Amino acid sequence: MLTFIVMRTLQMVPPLFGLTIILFVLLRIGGDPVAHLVHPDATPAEIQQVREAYGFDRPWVEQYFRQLTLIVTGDFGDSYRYRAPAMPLVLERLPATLELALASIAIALVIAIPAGILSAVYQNSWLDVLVTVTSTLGRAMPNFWIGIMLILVVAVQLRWLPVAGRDGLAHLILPAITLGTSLATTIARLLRSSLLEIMRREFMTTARAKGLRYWTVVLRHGLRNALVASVTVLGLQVAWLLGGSVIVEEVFAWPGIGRLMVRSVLLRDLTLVQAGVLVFALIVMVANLLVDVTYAFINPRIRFS
Amino acid sequence: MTEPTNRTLRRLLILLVLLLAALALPATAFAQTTPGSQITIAIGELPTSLDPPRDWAIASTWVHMNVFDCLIWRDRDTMEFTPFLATSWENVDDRTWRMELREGVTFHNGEPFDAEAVVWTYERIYTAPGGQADFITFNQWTFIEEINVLGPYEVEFVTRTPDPAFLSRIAGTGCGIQAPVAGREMAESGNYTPIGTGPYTFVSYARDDNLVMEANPDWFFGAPEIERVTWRSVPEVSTRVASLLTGAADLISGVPFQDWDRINANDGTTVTEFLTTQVMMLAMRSGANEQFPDYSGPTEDVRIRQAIAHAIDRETIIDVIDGLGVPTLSRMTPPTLGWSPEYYDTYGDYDPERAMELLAEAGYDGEELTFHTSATWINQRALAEVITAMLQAVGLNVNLQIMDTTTFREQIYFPYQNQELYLDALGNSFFDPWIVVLSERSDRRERSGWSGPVADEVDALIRAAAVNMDLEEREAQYQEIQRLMLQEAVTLPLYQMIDAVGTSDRLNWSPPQDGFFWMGNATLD
Repeated sequence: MLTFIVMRTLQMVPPLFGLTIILFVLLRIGGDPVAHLVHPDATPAEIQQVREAYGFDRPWVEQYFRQLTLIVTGDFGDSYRYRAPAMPLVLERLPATLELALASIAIALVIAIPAGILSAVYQNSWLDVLVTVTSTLGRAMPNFWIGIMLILVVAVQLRWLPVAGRDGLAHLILPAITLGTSLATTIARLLRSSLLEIMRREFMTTARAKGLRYWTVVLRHGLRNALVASVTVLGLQVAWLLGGSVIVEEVFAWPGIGRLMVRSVLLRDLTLVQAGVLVFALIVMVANLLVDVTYAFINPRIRFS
Repeated sequence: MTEPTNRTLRRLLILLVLLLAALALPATAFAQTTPGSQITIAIGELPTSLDPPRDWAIASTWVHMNVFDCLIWRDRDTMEFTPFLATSWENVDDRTWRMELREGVTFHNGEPFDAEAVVWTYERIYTAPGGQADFITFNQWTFIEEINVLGPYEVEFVTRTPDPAFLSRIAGTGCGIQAPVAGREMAESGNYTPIGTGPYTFVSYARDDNLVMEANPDWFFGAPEIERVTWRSVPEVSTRVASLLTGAADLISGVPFQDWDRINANDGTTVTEFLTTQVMMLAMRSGANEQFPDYSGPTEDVRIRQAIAHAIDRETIIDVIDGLGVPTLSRMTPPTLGWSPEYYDTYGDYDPERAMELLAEAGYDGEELTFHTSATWINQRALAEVITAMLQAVGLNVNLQIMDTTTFREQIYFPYQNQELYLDALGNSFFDPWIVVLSERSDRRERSGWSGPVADEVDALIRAAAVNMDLEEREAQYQEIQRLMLQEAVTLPLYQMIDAVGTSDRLNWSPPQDGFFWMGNATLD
């Protein structure tokens, strides 16, 4: 298993390298950071002076390799906007982003697992219809809209929870629900269909025939097998979750990496965007690795190769 | 548990209904109101740097000005110059200004304020080897040639040229005096903490989240009444409004028109509108220049530009923007020197028939006019569409290109690639006219490309007015500049923008004419 983890970790390097190229091309060639570093009254000569000071006048290849050298040495360079080292700026927001992501996953699982199981067990009942309709609606509604609605109803009308910011557990609930509900709908639907398929298998009938209780069979034998697909999707959804956090962090003034990325992309703060995206990419890759490892615990028949 | 039955399903339904009913029960409201003598201010973004000359954004200025005092200040009600860290000033000759400094003032870290602090604060900016790469406000301070210390509490500023705008500049954005000893140490270590003499002392900053400051008990005008001010970054405007409605914020910026009724109807919150210094304008390219040597287009012909001016119906424009503006033909708005009722608060000469005549005289034959705009400002997209319709109504062939702010800045504004028309708003928190005509000085026409005898006349007037120490003569010069620019329809100012803040009723504070959030005079009920 250790060999498997080491191999998978090494496999992360080429995509990360490719990512640095894509980011550089999209941000540097697609835009001009100098436009955001000078006063509106700046003269052409002053703009040129700033361009030279930051090295933006150098050939693109040279600029890219300078940036790459910094990344390899773990420095990443300074953010143009904050005039401070980029990676610490990203890492100081990582706890907020992870906190939101983990809380969203927790909420998603708390909603999705009972909903998926009950929907499968009571197939074609009013409960199944309710779960299906809610899932479809939840998937169709954009995070931005869900967030604004939750603020209006829960925070403004009912005054149950705070509107925005990050000042404790109460502040986490609304943004986590916003992100978590969309994720819950995906997992609930998947779990329902997986469980329905598993429940038709012969081993389930055998288990019942052995005299095991209905719910023991469903939860111990059915759910365990049905969860493999859901865990796979959960791993894939980490990328979606981080993407969604960009919007949710803006709406709820949550000081995470997503908000930092929005401003940095708009202002072409290349070093900061690179540091942020690489951290996001690493999170996604590690999440996928964890999913692969988790397979073994859920279903021992899966072997590492 | 047993096998799934209809009975179990019914139980689940009852459980679900009970759960929903419990949610509908009245619960204890979440306490969001800032307690005691404290307030929370929610604004779109917080500073990227706490060092004033490194961040010129409006929100940063608001934060900086509460920590740092300037030598001379603008009275918050009248915008007249008022003594602050300087108790008096004298214009010794055209290029020399002397100031007596306030004694007994200390910085927040205990350092005494004196002449050396003044020298250090400004010298580090205007002598910076990297210019704007070091300090984004570099240009603002290059009018200073030297600062001489005449005594511990007396300084002398020598300007590069006679500078009638001296007081405006010295009281302008980023004018706060910094603690020199701590400043030098921080420059070496790279860890910057704002240390001024202002009404509030810096406490903490969680980047892009919140910034906390506390009342300075030793402030020379007496400790501010509000003991603690927390600034929060809330980029989404509807979230800011929700924060105000729930009491989580006492003051919010940039309230859109559609939320005014809701805030005013809410118990304990009010919207206050105020005139900003920003003027929305339709800028035109009058010709080619060094930055755009190949330019050739219809607006090179003054008659086409004049036709555009006659085609613009400012009355309709004000309706389109929900009345959130005062129509103006000039960027010189009160109380800026040179403003005139002839050009301000007037709709101008809307005359579509005359516009069509001028187009016919110019032999206009349907050539395309490229019209660039971003959607940075409130209603800007709708405004651009209305202007396009007005121009099309007189027969102009307009190609409207709406882009995001970043693209506009990178592809049009800074590479000076604007073509016939672009729409943008510019402010003037200095309240001096030199800055609003700078773009038509002969060496600064990167975006207008204006030339010809009238352009030369305006250039001479701009240069003369910039160094004219006779206020009356200077005012007349700026009025003549406005007249000539209108005559040639170089740019078309449309309206002075109105903005609005939302406040909780316990906060006694109203926005001043520059709209800056300075809390030194704010009180609580």
